Amino acid sequence: MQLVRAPAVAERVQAWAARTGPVPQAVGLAGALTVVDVLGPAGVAPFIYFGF
Amino acid sequence: MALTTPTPTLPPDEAPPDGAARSRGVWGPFVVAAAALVLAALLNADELQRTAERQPVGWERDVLIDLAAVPQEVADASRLNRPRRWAEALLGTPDPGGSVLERPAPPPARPPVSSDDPVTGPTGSSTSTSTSTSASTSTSTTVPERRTPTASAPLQVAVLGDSMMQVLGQSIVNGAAGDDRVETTLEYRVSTGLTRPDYFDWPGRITELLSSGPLDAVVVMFGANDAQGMVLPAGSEPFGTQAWLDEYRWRVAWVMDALAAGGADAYWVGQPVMRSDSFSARMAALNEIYASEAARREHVTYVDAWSVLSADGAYASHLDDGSGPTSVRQSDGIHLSRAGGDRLAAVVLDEIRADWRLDR
Repeated sequence: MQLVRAPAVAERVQAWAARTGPVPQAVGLAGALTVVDVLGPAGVAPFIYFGF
Repeated sequence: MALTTPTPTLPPDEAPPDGAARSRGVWGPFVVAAAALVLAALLNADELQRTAERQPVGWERDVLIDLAAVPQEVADASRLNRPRRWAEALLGTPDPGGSVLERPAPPPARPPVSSDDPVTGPTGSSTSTSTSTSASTSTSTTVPERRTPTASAPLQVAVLGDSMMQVLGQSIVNGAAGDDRVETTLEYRVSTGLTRPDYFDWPGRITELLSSGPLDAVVVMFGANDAQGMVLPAGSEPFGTQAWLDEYRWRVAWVMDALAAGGADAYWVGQPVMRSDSFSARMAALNEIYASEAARREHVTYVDAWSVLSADGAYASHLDDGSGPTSVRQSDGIHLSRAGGDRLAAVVLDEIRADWRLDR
């Protein structure tokens, strides 16, 4: 019996990126950026800390 | 027996084809990343536009808005900004609104006191009645009718403002906590004010609060974030111009009249002296607007924080509270310390107690 760990997510992504073309890669990366931005916080307007 | 460690292998369907990655050359990843950023800019064109509009008014903001308009136009035409809109609708992300203030309609006048039913003002004087027709021309001299707060029907006090109100508001809430005839609610929003309703719409929020339930008194403190450029329908206006001051005065008057129309007395807390001389000068200009507009309205009391938190008008990080010098300001030279908040809150609460005859 061989205990072989399953490939990590990063390895799977690496493998996917290696076997797919540049267009799906770009689309996937753009989609990931969008998901992060949509789910992320809106941030705080830096009003009061202007250099008055 | 020899023990060998098996080499981890990917499943056949996940193994990279020989030479596939190498064939793209050194620049392949950079091209993919650039393409992804361009596509992401189109997918997020709405947010890029909003981010540009949130920047401080000035030429940098104008350039960013012009730059953001390019992906916005392409995304509108290609409908690539639709997925994000769907996602935001699905997640319930609030619409931050536009960057240009759409002036709210002037609030209705405070209900006039019937001449058949004279009431006693805070000083025991008889009332006179008048009406205000717009926020910019209001000259109301109506003495507000005030009920007598009780434990069963306590005085409803809302405390509203920006980050300056965080400490002050907590001190007001704490100071009123021992009196069951007063019920306070605190709402402070960091980095807000009356200059940038695209970031937070205080007129809208105040309208919402007044319609959600009766308020007897509202303590307000704005201004620390307001000494910046303003976006008007005619274009950007830098701080301090006559057009800027006129517009800001109109907005302050609008809030005061909206509170009056909602039946609430207003206690408008001015800005304290700041450590920075230039910032202090800006705050002094705003204080002049608050004080003069409050003076035109019987239902508005201006609380002079400048004199309360200064040493003969000059900035002081510490003031003597009777037991020695006590820090009244935070290290940024802007915000109040707890002792500073307590000191100013005591003045605000004294005004409220005097107006509503809340003898201790």
